[in-house]
Amino acid sequence: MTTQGNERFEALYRAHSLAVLGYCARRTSREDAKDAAAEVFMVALRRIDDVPAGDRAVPWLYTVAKNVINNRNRSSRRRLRLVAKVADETDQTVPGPESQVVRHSEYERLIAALEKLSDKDREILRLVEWEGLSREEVAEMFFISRAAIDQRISRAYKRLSRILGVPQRETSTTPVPMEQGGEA
Amino acid sequence: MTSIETLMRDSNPILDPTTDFSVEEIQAFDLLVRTRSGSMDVQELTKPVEPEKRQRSLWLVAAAAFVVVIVVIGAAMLLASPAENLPPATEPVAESTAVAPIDVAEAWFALYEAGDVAGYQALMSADATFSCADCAGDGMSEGPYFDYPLRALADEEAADSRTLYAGHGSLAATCAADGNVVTCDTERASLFGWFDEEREPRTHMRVTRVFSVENGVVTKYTFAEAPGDGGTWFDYGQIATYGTWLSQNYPEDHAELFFGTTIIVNDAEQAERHHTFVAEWAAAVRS
Repeated sequence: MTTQGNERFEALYRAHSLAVLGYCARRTSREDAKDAAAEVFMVALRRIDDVPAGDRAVPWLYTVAKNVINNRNRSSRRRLRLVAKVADETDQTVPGPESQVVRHSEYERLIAALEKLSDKDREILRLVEWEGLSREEVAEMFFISRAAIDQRISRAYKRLSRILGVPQRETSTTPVPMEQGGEA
Repeated sequence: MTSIETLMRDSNPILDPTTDFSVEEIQAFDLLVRTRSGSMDVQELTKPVEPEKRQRSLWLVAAAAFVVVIVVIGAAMLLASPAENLPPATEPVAESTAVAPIDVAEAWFALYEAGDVAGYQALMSADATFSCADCAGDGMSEGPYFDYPLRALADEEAADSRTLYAGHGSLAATCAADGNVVTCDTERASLFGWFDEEREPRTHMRVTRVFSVENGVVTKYTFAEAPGDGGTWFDYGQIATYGTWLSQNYPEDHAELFFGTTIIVNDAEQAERHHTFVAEWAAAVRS
């Protein structure tokens, strides 16, 4: 790699390494997150010329991180777990309150409910609310319109609200006519 | 009461990466990167001065609130299900009776969109019937989803699911339940589909899918395209363009993932490889 490329990578790494580590830790264990984040930067090192300049590097790095984590997770075992969740997590059986206090918090319930969203809706919601990306940045990451992002977030919140019985405080978006790129 | 939006933001497992990771964790990560990168001269990251961490007192409030909810639900369940009505311990509990039909339908779409064929098919009973107006071009078709001749259409859907995932596609579904029957209006968009003037994937192919759900699985599935909406699932011109790009940049992979101009996505591994390449192709086209 050229000196210029090396300097650029160093700057990229110093500016965004913790953000990428955080992204990975939100989606896997903290131990695995280090390994996944390191893999992301190895991809960036190899493809430093493809990394967009400035703030646009962040969505690029998150896209690589998403693929790295997906590749690690995508196995038949995970598939079976997904199917099992449909049966298990909608089961109305309530375990004893003693164990619930320890194992389940309101946050954990929400994280479990997130699993019921589609992969794409879940990721969009997390990128906006946890990673702090703008909706425009997320739209660019997913190759869909800003209006479609608004609709997906709105739909995801409605679903979470229904699953958890927690009200929506605000309207996440205004309806967008189909001809402007909205999704059904 | 906490809103769902606030709950979502507050449940972020890593509120602030600059303060939520310990010095040891950051140093271990830094060492990993420097080791793997070989000669790369990355300066060691230093942990910034740690500001006061955000309070997590909400956890205590949430836990207390949750106890109240559990107690109320538990009491309600006891009242609704007297002990004498419970099945004997040796009797198998009816499988998945608590699963809401709309949740089954929405899970079906999530798995379909993710290219998880085994996943969405597992949500269908082995003898599920399939009904599709003129799918086979010979009038009304109805019969077992997993048996021929309609099995051919099920196989077509399996290939579509994987190709949709490969092309970063979406299958947006708006579902409404009436008893155990769930009606879902769907539209699709994909990098293998059509684009609007701003080069955004355009939604197309409006289809209504109706699921009858019993005991947590789909027993009847009806597929009906909106009149006049066409039946083409992908823009094969786009796929050919992607194939050309793949052959120019990754010829060995192209040889494994294409047969001429026909995309090959017979299994999850091929779909995953396409998914990764398509992201790169799309970025290259847009840059």
